[in-house]
Amino acid sequence: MSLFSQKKHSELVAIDFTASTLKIAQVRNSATGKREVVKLLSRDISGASDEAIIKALKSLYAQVKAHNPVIINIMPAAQVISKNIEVPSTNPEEIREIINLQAGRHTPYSREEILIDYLDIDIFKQSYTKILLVIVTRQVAKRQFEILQKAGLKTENIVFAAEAVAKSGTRLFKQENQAFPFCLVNVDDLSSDYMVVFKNKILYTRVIPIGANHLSGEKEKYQPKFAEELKKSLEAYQVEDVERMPVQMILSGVDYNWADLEIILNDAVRLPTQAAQYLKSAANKDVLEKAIAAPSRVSYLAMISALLHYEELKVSFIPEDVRMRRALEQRGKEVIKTGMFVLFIFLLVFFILTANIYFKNLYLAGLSKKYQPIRSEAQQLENNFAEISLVRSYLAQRGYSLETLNELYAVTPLEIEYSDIRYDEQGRFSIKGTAESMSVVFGFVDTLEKSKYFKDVKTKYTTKRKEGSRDVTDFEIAATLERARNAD
Amino acid sequence: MPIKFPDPQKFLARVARLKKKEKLFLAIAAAFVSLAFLDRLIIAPILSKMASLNKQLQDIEAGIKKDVKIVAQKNRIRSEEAQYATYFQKQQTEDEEMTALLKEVESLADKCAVYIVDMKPAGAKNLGSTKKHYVNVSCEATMEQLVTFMFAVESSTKLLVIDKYAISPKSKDSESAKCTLTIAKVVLPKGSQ
Repeated sequence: MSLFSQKKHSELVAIDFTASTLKIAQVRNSATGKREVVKLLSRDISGASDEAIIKALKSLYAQVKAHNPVIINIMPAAQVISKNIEVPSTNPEEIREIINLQAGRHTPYSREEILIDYLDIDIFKQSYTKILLVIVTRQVAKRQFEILQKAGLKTENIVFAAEAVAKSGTRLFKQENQAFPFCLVNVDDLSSDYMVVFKNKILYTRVIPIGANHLSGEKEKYQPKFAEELKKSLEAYQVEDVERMPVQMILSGVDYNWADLEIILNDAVRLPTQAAQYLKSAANKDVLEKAIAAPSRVSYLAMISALLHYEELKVSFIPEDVRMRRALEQRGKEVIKTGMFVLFIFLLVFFILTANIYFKNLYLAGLSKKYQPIRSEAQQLENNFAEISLVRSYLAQRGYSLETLNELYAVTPLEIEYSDIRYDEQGRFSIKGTAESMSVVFGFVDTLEKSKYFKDVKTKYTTKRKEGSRDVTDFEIAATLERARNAD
Repeated sequence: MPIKFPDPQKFLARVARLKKKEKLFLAIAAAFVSLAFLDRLIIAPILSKMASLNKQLQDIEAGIKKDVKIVAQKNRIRSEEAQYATYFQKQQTEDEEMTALLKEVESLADKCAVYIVDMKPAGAKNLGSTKKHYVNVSCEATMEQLVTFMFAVESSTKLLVIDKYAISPKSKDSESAKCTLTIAKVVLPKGSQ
């Protein structure tokens, strides 16, 4: 499935070249969105070589002022072999397989020499499908394709003229409400296409080798012959047993005085016959005025029909190799489109994220700028507070040397005399002195240990000596100050 | 060796020939590779930048909240600053500081009737934003006078601290004591932080 849905083309050009005439028709979407015929051109190419046709095509196409139009080629019914057949399946894939196998039986050509397609007509007996098998020689399709290619035109599709006429005929000739099929005869300069149409579908088609040139030139000879051919065609349709018999015949195509012929045909075919204009509801004002001023000797009906209903046409005579190449190209384009779409999404996401970053940066810068005065003041206050805290901490530490001295005084028993007291900032505290006995020293050590100021109290030495008549003990005690230990 | 890129047409034709399952695997692999490539090249750096910005934003917002709180305490900090203003002083040279310290110690000793035998500057030490000037003092006095002197030092308005002391009797049975003190003066220059 394509990622992007196909839109209706706004400008299309149809090119049709028969043995005698090269025709170009152009349609464009009007302001109301309706497709309008804006140009109809033709040139006589009777007996011209392919080179001459290419030249004529280039020159005629130069008159078409179209911007990148879709170019379609019309395959006239005269170049197509059509067969009404019944296929024992209703599955489109199976039908295609069956006709691929059986197509060779319906033509004198081998399978490799022909291009085939089909149109559904109806399903019957629940499992059978009536189809109109259409066959064209590969050589004919390829020649048309190459002529257009050499003229510098890229053919989008080669469509079947009769299918296109059937698609538009019902609406153009106001047959929508008919409960029965109708005959539509598209008279061209050298031949006429006889078609039986019902509900926009072509049921049957036959080419009559009598055209407007014959009918205008030798009326007496060709008008009865034409009527006879139409009668034969109706009989042939009846033999095929495709649908019910038609109840009306419409003559269209070239601008011709149909009055005489209508009488003859009414009599010969025994069907109410009427001539009808197809340009009125399809062409713009300019084209209509030109058509009235200079009646056309060629029919543009198939071309206009194909252009108006191009998207609905099913039959395509594009050679398989071209179709395959295009499918590959199309797939490549779709891959590129998908890639671009993905890239676009990524870019969008990237843009959103980058914008997010940009706006956050902006917000950040704004916030920093707005609060800069507060930040500076807070910084200053913070520094001041840190200084105050420093002073406080120093003040809190002061007096500890005296506190230790005071504590020592408080816990010292009367039996002890000090000869040396030392204190330093690392928390070392030592005392030397003399006691009456060792037990006094040890008792004093215990007391010191219990004090909240001294920890790890150790006796370094205790030495007994005689002082006069009594024994005394010299000692040294070392301790750690509690604050110093906490500081560690 | 130059890198050969495959012909896109041939590549597409080859892909078209793949089975449905193989195509699915190829698509999944391509999607994974693309996503990984995209993640490494674009998404990860952008997300990392965004995370860093969010972090910065959070930090700034938290900083602002903190700053606002600090500014709200402005009056209290200012009043405390005034309260401790005497402990801050203008920056002086080392000699000036030392001279002032010696004078202060001598003055306090005089007031407490402590006899200074010897007084020597013992250098200075930097402690971060503060500086400590030391002086070694040898003195003689009764224990009471000595304690009064020590108290006067520790409660001075100049942030004097007794770092070290050694006390011993001047002689046997004497009431006087010899004392060696190391007094430090903490100098906090204004605006040191």
